[in-house]
Order: sequence, then structure tokens, then C-alpha cells
Amino acid sequence: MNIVVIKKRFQDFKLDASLRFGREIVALTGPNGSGKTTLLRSIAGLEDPDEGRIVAMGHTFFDHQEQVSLAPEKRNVGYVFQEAALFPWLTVDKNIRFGLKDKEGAVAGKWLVELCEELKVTHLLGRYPARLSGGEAQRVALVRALAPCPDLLLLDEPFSAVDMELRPSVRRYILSLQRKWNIPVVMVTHDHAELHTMADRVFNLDAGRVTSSRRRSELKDAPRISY
Amino acid sequence: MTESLLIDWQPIMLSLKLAFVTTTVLLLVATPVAYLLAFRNFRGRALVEAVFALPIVLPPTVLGFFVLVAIGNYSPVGELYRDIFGDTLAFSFVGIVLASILYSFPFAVQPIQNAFISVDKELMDAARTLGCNRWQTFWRVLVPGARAGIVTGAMLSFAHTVGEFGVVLMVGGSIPGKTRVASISIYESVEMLNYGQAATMSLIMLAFSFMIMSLVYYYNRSASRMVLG
Repeated sequence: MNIVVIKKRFQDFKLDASLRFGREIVALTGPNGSGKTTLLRSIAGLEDPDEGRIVAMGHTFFDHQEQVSLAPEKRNVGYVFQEAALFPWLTVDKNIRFGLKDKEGAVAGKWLVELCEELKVTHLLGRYPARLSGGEAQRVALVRALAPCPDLLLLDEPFSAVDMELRPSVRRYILSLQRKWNIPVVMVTHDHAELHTMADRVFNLDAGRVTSSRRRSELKDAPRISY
Repeated sequence: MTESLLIDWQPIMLSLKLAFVTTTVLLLVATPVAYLLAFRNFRGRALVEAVFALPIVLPPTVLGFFVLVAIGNYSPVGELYRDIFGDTLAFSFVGIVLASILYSFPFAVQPIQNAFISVDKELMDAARTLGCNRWQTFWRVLVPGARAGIVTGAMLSFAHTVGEFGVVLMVGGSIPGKTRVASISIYESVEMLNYGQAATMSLIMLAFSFMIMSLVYYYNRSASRMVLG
């Protein structure tokens, strides 16, 4: 069981959220400014909560009482930022290799080649990020986050810029990968199609608090895409 | 009037050596200072920034005078230097390097600080989630992301040092081969009414400065083209 119980106070905003989930796809929904991104950033270690506890895949990432705060680079978390956050001075190929320890060996690895093909970025490898469309950049960011085989995947509106016709295949691929790797995926989304086709569990946040927690089967008209 | 058109290369080479040493030391010192000013909040920060920016507004002779007093033979620093190296710090090459570093400090710190601030913070966050610690993030993200500012800082420091006059004259005097740099040599040539020599050296300095500034603008343009597409 993964546990995220955090409190974080900003000048005019207070996040006080408690989430428990398994190795499943978790969707965070709610209005802008409700604390979804702060929650993701706290799990990744990019924000330190004021209080609380974060346990993921058996590792304590953060524990205020025990004074534990694992550095982001030690959490093995894949994070796809809303704006892709690709390094503009590196080609797509080098962006993807950025987080790999064994750069040459891993790129030669069959699965990374397959990953690039599945997410349709193989033809982009030699380009710089400035030459990518928003959707291409998000797909590259997804490949980059998946490349080091993370134990937990955090997605901040990862498909918002992806072309409509490509979205179903990208969703399908993430779903199949999540099942294959058996890892938790926490995803911020406003997209109903993503909620209905991907999420196993949906947490709704409002003004820094979790206002509802529902399983996918409890969502109305929730067909599951096949993969 | 004795007029010679023969170029005296010694002051020019000394100017370049001074600029090269100053720029190298400045990059090593200014980069961490720029990092602290860009990312850390501390008490008295405005005061520190004001002190660092002083060389921009102070007349070079005033700065030179303070440095001369601080490193002169009877100052604690000067005495310590003489005890260790058996030579005076004022009127030496090391002395003018020290003065040049202080004089060009803001020209190195400010572009690097601004460049650090302008690097997208999300890129640094991305690097952390991709396994980089703070130090690796600095080298793999912040430095490449701020390279245009770092190059600008280095080039400006270099060009500014080559063009120094008042500070070097106050701290180093005009000792041939030791502290007589190109700008001082030009001044002395004019004083001796050797306009030919002054004109030749001035043209070399003009060409050099133009080349440096062109390189800065060319580099910054190509760097921004890569980022903006």
C-alpha cells in the first residue's frame, strides 16, 4: 500500500491531503489551484511537506516525525511535467538518455527502442526540443521519464498537448506498461476520457483537501479500453 | 619628437595575459557567488549586492587607491605577502591581477547571476527526478542552461580587463614587462608625442575589442536560436 498523508502551508493556501492506493493508476482531479501538482511534487521530493508521511513501494520517502526526507534522485520516480521540461540544448535522443546510468547500453536495449516506437518518437531522436510540437514534446518527456524504469510514475496532465488521434494509443501503452511493470501511476487530469479509460481510482481535490475517493467502477459510464 | 611605428608587443601580450588570468580566476570565483545571489536568500543580501556592484560606479582611480592601500607594503595583506613570497604585492603582476579581479567582478557576476535566474526551474526539477543530485544538476542543467550568460560574463571580464587603465596604473604603476599594460603604454606614447605608436596600439585594441564583442553577440544569437527554434 502506498500512503501519502501531507500537510503543507503556503501564504494563502493550505494542502491537507491523505491518499492510500495500491499498484494501480490513480487520477487526481479538481479545479486549478486545488493542490494536485503540489501533491505530485511532494511525492517526487521536489517540495518538502510541513508535516506527514509518504511511503511508496515499501520505501519511506518522507516522514516528518522520523525526520526522513529522501532526496528526489533517490526515490526512483518518473515525473512527466505539464510543460514537458525537455532540456533545450540536448537532442531528443540525449534528453531520453539523460536519466540512464548506462547510456550506450540502455539505448541499444530492445525495450527502449520499442518504447520510442510505441510512443512514436523514433523519427524525432535527432531533433532539438525547439523543433517539436507540444504533443511531440510530451511524448518525448514520457519516454524520458519511463527510460530509467521508475518504481512510481507521476504524470501532470501528460496528454493535454498530444494529438487527439494519438491519445488512445498513448493511453493504451501506459496502461499496458503499468500492468506489465506492476507500478503505481499517479496522474493529474481534467480529461474525462482519461478518467474513464485509465484510472483505477479517482481522488477529487478541492481547496487542498481530498473531497472524494472513488474506484473506477463507481464512475458513471466507465468503459475500459482493451490493451 | 621621436616617432616610432614599430609595435611594442610586450604591453599587448601583458594585457592579454592579465585578462586571461583575471577571467579564469573570475569564472571560478564569480560562478558560485552568482549561484548564491540567484538562489539563496540571506540577511544583508542587498548590501552584498551593492558592494559587488560598486566597481561599476566607482571611478577606477578611487578603487585603485583603496586596493593600493589594502595591499601596500605596510598593510597586513602586503606584509603577509612579502613574508611568504619575499616580494611586494603592490606594483607586481599579482597585485594588478587582484585589482583587475575586483574591478571586473560585477561584469562577471551579473550576467552569470541573470543567466542562472533565467534557467527554467522545472528543468532542474526534471534533472532531480532523473537521478541527478544538486551538484550534478548544477553541471548538467544549470551551467549548460546558463552558458550564454557565462560566456558573456567571461568575454566582458576579458574585454574590460584589457581596457583597464586607472586601476592598473594606481596599483601597478608602469613597470615594463611587469605592470605596463597596453592602455598605459598608449597613454605614455601620447605623452611622449609618439602618436604613431599610440595609433597602432589603439587600432590593435579597437580591433580586439570589436572581435570580442562580435563573438559575444554571435554566440548569444546562436544559443538563443537553438532554444527558440
